[in-house]
This record gives sequence, structure tokens and C-alpha cells, in this order.
Amino acid sequence: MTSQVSPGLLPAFGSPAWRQRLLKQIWRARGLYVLIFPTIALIAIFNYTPILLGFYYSFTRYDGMHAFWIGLENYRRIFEDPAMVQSYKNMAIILPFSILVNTTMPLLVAYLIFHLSSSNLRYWFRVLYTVPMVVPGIVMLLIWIFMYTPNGGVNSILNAIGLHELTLTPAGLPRSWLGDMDTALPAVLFTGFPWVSPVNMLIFLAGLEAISIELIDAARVDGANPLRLFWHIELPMVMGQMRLIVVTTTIGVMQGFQNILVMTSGGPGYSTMVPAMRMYDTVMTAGSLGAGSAPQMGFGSAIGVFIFLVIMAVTVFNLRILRKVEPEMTQ
Amino acid sequence: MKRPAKRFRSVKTSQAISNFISIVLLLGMFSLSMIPVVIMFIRSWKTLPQVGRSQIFPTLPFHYGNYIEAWELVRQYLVNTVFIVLMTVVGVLLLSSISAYVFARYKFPGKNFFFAMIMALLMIPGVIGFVPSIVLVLKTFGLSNNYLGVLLPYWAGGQVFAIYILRTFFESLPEEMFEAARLDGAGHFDLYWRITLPLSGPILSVIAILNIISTWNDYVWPLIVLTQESKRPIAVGLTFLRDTKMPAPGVEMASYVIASIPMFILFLLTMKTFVRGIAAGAIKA
Repeated sequence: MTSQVSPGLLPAFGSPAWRQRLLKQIWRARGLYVLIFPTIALIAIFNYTPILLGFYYSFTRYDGMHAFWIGLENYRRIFEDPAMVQSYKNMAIILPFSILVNTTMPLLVAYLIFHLSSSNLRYWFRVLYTVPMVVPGIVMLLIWIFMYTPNGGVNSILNAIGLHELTLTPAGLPRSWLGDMDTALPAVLFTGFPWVSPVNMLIFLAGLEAISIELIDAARVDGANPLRLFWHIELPMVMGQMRLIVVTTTIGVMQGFQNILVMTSGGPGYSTMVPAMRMYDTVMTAGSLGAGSAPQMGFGSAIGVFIFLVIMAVTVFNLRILRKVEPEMTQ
Repeated sequence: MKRPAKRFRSVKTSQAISNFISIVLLLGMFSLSMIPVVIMFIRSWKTLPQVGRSQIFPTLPFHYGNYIEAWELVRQYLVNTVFIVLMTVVGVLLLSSISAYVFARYKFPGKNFFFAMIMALLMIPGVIGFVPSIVLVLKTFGLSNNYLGVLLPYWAGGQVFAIYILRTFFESLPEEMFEAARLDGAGHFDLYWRITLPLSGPILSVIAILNIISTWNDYVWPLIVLTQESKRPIAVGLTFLRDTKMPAPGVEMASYVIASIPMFILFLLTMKTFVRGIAAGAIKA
């Protein structure tokens, strides 16, 4: 495999001979360092530097010009800032809901495809359910924004199926689903209905296809009906995929804010605010923090660190389980 | 299968019934998820008075003029996006394949440290560096409205997952080929360029597609860096179009359709790779 390192007796660690041997190895591999230098430099500058700066800024008041050390002040604010407090309440609804629909709906579709008897049909449904991926995410969001406008798709559909009352606010005006304190968060959650994520569906399908046919046949011969088969064999066999999707959904939802930014910017009021949206606001929409206020990189960084710590806690909790799935996923 | 003939037939019938139910359900669910897309198409063919008559149901005659108007509005955005996507994909493929090759085929001091440093990024959520990245790119490097402000972070971040996938693949290539080339006096770069790359077409195209999709769709970062109208990519451009120029509904929807067409063409041309790419991207948390 390697022509770079000559094998032989290893000199004692730290001894002059060891150091000389190491320098020689480094010198011999100099061409390799040149080859990986662009990768390492880019990662050091654009990935690791911001991470380290993030920790540092989070202890400062920093408007982009001058940074003052203020200790844990920003972290105290994370728990007192009214937008942040509301964002936790919203997250407590968004996260469980997202996990629920991002696991059940793709699993249902994968299950249905898996049990089709013709491999041709299975292939074409797989492809068909991948098609929505070609519509850019932002386009989907913009269409959904139209759907929720007072004269939009949702109200038109409700009218067409005879649910006219639902399209009106208590005051009798056409309802703007995203502009109404009571319906904005439900509308954000409903976006993407019926939530069949192609990625998650393909993961589940791969998991189902990995189950040995003997196992399923054996259960069938033993008289297991489809429901028992699903509950006792198929579901347990895709639990690894299930946990993987729970983790990736959790990470995605907790640090994501693109949909909120495009659809509502966290409003009306703070009714659709999420932590990462607030983080964006602290830097890019400084006005939202109070009239005439400057960007607050320190507070924003503290929110970033906070979200990071929560995500890491969740991920570490699942790490052992995740490792078990990984080899199957990378085939 | 040892089953009595009679029972076998009933199994077959029930199989046909369950097949039928599955297909109906699958088509039904697919139709539901396509409702917004279908509405986009229908509205894109409407004139303003036609929109007044019915918001979401088709009206005759179809009005293709919206597409001509929309094309004028989004042409520059599309050119910008194609430029960013091409530069990103070429950069990511080049960087990641070179580094993955080095990590896969050589041993050198610090190898494990550097590799761990790259792989750790797969586990670290990007959110922690979000605010400092803005300071770094816009203020420290002064790359506001500069394509490099978008490309450099894309190259840096995009290569991580690609290296992870490619290293595994490059390690599986047979050593004999490399040995033979080495005896012929090939250097590191020859082994990479003449042996490794030609054998890696399929896996490289999976990575390319994954990258094209994510770059084409990215919204927040270009929104921050490229504030100048003439530099915006399509994702950012569409939201600004809606907010500032307020095109007629039909034109607005036609611009959304136009923004989706390049990805659709890519999908048609590379269907199998496309599906594989999406499945491979699944583990990228």
C-alpha cells in the first residue's frame, strides 16, 4: 500500500534518532503535503476558524467593530430574550411534529413500494418519488407562500370542496394563513404535506430491501399476517434507519431556519420564531432587536454555540446507535 | 414453495389485490405532494384576468407569454447560478479527489490527525460557525459581493463529505495497478490522474450531482454575501423578484418553472445516478 515509509525497528519515542527519522519521513512525503494543502487550508480557514471564533465571540459584546469581554452575559440573555423564550415553545411543537412526519410518511411509502410484487413497478415508483427533488427548495417554499395567501391555493381548495367557513377569519375576511397569529405556526408545519421526503424514503427502502427474504418467508409460513409481519419483523429491522432519520431530522430542524426566513421571518410577532432565525436576526436584521440597534455578533454567536451544544448532546446520545447503522448506509 | 395449488392461487389473488391497493395509495400520496407543483404550472399559463376568474384551476386559452416575460427577468440569475454551480462542482471534485487519493493510498506523518480533522466536520453542526463566518468572509476578507465569498466556503465545506466517500472507494482499487505504474516511473500525480480518476467515473458523478443539487438550492449564504442584484443566484433572485418587482402572478409562477427546468433536465439525463446521489447524501447530516 505504501512506498513512503520504510519499515524497520522503531527508535524510542522522542529520542534524537526518532526525531531524525520523523523529519526524514516528513521530507520524503513533502509532495503529499503539497497535494493535501489546499484541502487542509480551506478547512482550517472556513470551518475551524469560525468555530473557534464562535466560542470567543459568545463571551463578548461585538458589533462588528469593537469586541468587549462580557463573560456569560450573552448566555443569560439566551434564556431571557422574549424572542428566544417563544422560540423554545415553538421548537417544542416543531421538533416532535417534524420527527413524527419525517419518519412515518416516508416509511409508509417505502413499505408500500417494497411490497409491490413487480420489480419494474418498484423501480418506477422509486424514481417517481424522487422527482420532487428537482424543484428547488426555495421554489417549493414560494409556492407554499402563495398557497397560504388570502386568495391563494389553500382557500381556493377549501372553497372548492365546500369548506367556505374555514377560509374566513372570525372577522369575516379571507384568511391569510401565514399572517395570522393563530394559524402561522400550523401553516408552517403543514408546508410540504404529505411530507414524503425522498431521501428518508430511499433510506427506509434500502433498509427494507436488506431484510433477508428467508426471514420474511419463514414468518409467512408461520402464518404471520401483514400487520404482525410489519410489527415484529420489518419495523424492528429498520430501527437503525429510523434512529438515523430521527437524528438527522433533529439536527436539521434545530439549526434550520431557511423556511422560516422565507415564509414568515419568525412572525407575526414571534409566533413562528425559532432559535436559528433569531441568530440570523442578531446579525442581518439588527433592527429587529430594537430601534437603531447595531448587529450583535456576540449574542448571535452565543445562540449558535447554544444550538450546537444541544445538538451535540442529542447526537452523542445517539452515537452508539448511529455507528451501528453507518456501514449499511455507505455501501 | 411447498403450498397446495388451491392455496397458492388464493395467495396470488390476494397479492394482486394488495398490489392494486398499494399502487392506488402510492399514486394518491404522490398526487397530494404534487398539488403545489401542479398549481405552479396551471398559474404560469394564466393572464391577469384569468387569475381573477380562477386562482388555481385551468383557464383557456393557455398564455405562454408569461414565460417570455419571466425569462427576461431570471436570465441573469440563471447565468449566475450556473457559474456558481460549475465552479463549486469542479473545485469540490478536484480538491476532494486529490486529498482522498492521498489519504487512501499513502502513509505519512500526521495522516491520521489531518484525516480526523476533516472527518470531525461531518459531526459538527455548521450552526456554531454561522455568525463568525459572516464576520470572516464579509469583514476580514472583504468578500462582500465577490463570488469568492460564496465559492471558498462551498469548496471548504463541500469537499468534506466527498473525501469521506471517495477515500473508501480509492482504498478498494487494486494495488497491483499502482505498483505497475510506479515501476514505470509514475509520480504521485500520474498515479492520481492516469489511474485513479479514470476508474472513478461513476462515484465522481454521484458526488457531482449531490453537489449540484445542494449548490443550486442554497439560499441563505448567497443571500448574505451577494447583495448586488446582478450577482444573485436564482434562489435569492426569485425571492427578490417577488418582493421588489412584483411580477404578475402568471409571470411569477413561470419564473419558478424556469428555475426548476435545469434540475429536471439533469434528472432526466442522469436518472440512476441522480437517485443514487440522493440516497448517498442521506448520511450527510
